[in-house]
Amino acid sequence: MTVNKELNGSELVISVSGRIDTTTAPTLEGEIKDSLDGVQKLVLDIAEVEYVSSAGLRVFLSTHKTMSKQGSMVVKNVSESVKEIFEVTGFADILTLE
Amino acid sequence: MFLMVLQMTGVTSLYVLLTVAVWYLTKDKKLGLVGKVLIGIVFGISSILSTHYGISFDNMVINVRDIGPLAAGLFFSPVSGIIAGLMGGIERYIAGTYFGVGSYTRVACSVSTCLAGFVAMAMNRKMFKGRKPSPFYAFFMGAVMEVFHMYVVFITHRDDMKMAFLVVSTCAIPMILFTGLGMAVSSGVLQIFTGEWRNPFRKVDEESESLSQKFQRYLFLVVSVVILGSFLFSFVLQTRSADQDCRLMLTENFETIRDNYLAGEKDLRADSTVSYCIIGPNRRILKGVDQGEVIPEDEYEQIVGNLGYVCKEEFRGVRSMVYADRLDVNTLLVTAMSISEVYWYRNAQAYEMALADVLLFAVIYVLIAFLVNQIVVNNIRMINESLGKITNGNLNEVVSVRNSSEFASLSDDINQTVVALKGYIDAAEKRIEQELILAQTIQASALPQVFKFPDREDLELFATMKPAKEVGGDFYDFFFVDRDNIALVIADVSGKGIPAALFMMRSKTAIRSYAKSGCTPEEVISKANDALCEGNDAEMFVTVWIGIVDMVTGRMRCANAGHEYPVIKRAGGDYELIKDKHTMPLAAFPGIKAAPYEMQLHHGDRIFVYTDGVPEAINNSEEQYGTDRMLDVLNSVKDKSVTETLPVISESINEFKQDADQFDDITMLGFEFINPKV
Repeated sequence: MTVNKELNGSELVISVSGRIDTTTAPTLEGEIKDSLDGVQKLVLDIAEVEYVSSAGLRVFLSTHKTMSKQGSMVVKNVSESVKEIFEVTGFADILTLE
Repeated sequence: MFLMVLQMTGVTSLYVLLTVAVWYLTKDKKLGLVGKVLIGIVFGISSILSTHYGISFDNMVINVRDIGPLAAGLFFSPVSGIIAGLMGGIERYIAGTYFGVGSYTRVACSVSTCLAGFVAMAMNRKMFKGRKPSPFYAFFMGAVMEVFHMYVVFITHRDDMKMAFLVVSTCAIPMILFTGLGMAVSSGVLQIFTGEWRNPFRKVDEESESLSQKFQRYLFLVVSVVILGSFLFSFVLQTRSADQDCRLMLTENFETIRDNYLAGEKDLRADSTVSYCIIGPNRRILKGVDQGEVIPEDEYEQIVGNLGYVCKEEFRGVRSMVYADRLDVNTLLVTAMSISEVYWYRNAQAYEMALADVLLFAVIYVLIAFLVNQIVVNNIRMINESLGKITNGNLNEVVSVRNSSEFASLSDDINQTVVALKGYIDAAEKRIEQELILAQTIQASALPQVFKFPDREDLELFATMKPAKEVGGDFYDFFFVDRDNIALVIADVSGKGIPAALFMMRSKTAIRSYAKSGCTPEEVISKANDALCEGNDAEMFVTVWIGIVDMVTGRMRCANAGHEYPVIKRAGGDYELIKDKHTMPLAAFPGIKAAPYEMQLHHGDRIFVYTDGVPEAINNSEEQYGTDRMLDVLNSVKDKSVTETLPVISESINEFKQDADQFDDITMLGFEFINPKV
């Protein structure tokens, strides 16, 4: 998994690629946590993500919770397989998917 | 003087310009041998031009020829420096010998220019290791090179110290200063262009200052104090001995002349450096310098006032050491030596010594700095490198800096610490491993293991859980809520490890107790959700599917909180997914309203539920097992009993994943509704 961050003022775009599973989720969580200070809009671009495990979903959930306190969060370019995961787990209802 | 400063500034600026231009032209290129030689030739030519366009100052010609080889060698390549030095130096010798250009100093000039190239090479290779020197060091390189230049002038004219002294005292300061400044400015400008510039006078905080820098600074301070001290000491000594010599000379001359005069000798002589005169009545000079003239009254008064002592006073308009005494009542004999005569030798000596001291200083400084770098700093760097590897997790790294007892013992200490650390880590790993095994056992034992209900023949039930390496958060559960209703539960806690295992226990207990208190599946989901949301600081959640089957009517009430689609097989049919309604997993958000649904089960209908460990198992090429494959395998053994079916899936997953690791727990639960009357 690789993580790229790009900050434009108060908008942060985080592009992730690879698998977000038990092994990589803690890294992603750390990366996101470290850069949320003062961010009002968070865009998670997961075009290159092919799989999200339950540990990965946890990162989405906790980030969603943090961001709903300080602004908004959008998940962009969700692939079909990941979309299915979001739907099956009910995450599609709470996350803003674009 | 002003003109000289202006001209020297001009020539030095040209050198700076040349250096920057050459750097600009070559900055993006990798210098090959040809390039290096070319740079050498360019700077060599600049040195030659500098020789022939020297600047006149007080009847001397001064120049900054030595910048050529120094700049070429320090800023570009050692080879360029040597070529420039040899070109400039040899040409200087030829010009001096055959064309009469500054032939007096030709040896000193050519030797120092040739040497400049080699010094630049040595410094580039050994001290700066190919990096560009800072302006501070560049200044010293230039200045010390010129000091050497001046010193060689002295050495090569031992028999003609007066001339050598004249040359050096005129040329030394402007040449040393401008060569140093030329180098410093070149270095500074290059640093600005390459973005390496940092203010050398800015205060650096202790942490970011390197050991060698700190050491070099103190070394500089100490060596300069010592050398300045020794210089002052011998200067004072020289002054004393010059005074002494002068006094002796004056009194001896005085006595000889007096004796000769009293003996009636007509031809009175003093040593060449001493002048004398005999002053008669009316302050008229009877013999000696300016014979026949009258001494001015103030001079005469002074002389008369200091009779019998060697004193510093005006004599014939020149500051001199004067010794005078009466020959008889009317006549005075005065011997005098001009101050410049008294002290020229001391001054020449002082210059020579100062130059020699500066050279000595430079050599000592460079050598000690170099040695300290070699002996201490390099070793520390090596140890640091090893430590870096160790802290990055390579505990097999061995520190082996053994070239002094201190470093050997430091290496040993570090190695021992690492060995001890390895031992502790191994012990801790073992302990954790044991604890994890224990945790797994506890976790497994929390799941019901008996799949037969002795007094019931209306169902068949089987479940397995195969944990991944760590303890995980999957669980299944089944229990009779009351006589007729059995609850089937499968769940998956997000994440892994002890936190997931603990959360799993909490979830399992909550679900079981709400279900047993007679709640419907949607009530179990909502209530368990609210209970689990409380104090869920770790932001964990759990996906749950729960189904409660009425064993009398076959009605199954279900709710799915973010869990995988359950699978149903109608009697005589195929296994297929139930695309049921989902809500969020438990503990994600408080106040979830579950989406319940009902199904009617008949004799021989089966329910198969599983966790994501099944469809998301991956093989070596990271392909997923997938629900389609799962259904295919299930359907291939649809005639087998539930208890036989589950192991088939496990085996199929094992085959599929080859030697890839099992990332997630694999948990399944199968249930068949049987009507014993059929």
